[in-house]
Amino acid sequence: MEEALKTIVQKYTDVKDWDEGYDMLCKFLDRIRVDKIQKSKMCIVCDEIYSNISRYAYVKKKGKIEMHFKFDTKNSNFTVTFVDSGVEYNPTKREIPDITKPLSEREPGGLGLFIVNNIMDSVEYQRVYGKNYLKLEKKIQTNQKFKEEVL
Amino acid sequence: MKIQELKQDGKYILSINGRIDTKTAPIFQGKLEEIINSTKENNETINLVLDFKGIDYVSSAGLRAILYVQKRINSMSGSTMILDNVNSTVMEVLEMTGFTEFLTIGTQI
Repeated sequence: MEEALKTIVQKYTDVKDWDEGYDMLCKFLDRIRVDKIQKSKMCIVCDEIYSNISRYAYVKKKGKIEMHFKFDTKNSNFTVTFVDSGVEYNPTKREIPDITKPLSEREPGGLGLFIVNNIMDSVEYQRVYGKNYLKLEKKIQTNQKFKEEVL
Repeated sequence: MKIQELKQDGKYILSINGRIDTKTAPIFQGKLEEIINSTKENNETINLVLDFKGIDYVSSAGLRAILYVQKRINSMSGSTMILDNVNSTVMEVLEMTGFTEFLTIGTQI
């Protein structure tokens, strides 16, 4: 019995690299037979975090982003952990944007992490030995065929 | 992301396919800016329809572009913008961010 599927992707930060990260994520989610809606949501979440790290973690230097995907078949939890060696930044401490403001008072920005927090069940941040670890978890449904294949 | 343009019954329809994300949002916004600038230069109005039938997802970068364009459209008297054929994932994001309060979403084509 395979209790957890695990794929680790290591990538260099650059917004243009998201295409490859996106492909890897889709392949992983296809492997566990996630439906289109849940897949899109996980893509949004990873897109937001990836672009955030790409833009802000490394100032005037090129660094790495690691994306670790894991699906636990015991509890149906999908986990993606982002690891980077950039500046310390805890996204869970970010101010929540006021989404009730009218259009004229809306400012661009701040919505990405808000969306992430709304979609995922848990978002945990840790700074360990000069690295940022952002662990995102979501219970997702896989179809019967996957369960029959794996369990 | 691919954008197709069609002018039909007084509407300027843009059919977008793929995803509006951190990489493609500037292209999406650039296309809309080009159309809006041309409309303003000609002292015309526009009924813009964004057909989202082929959209996989819209990230916050896409929302920023939509926010910017809606503000510009609102500043042009007589012009409108509609988001059409919005799928459930995009709708959920629009609802959770409060965008449904100021966007027009419907089946208009």
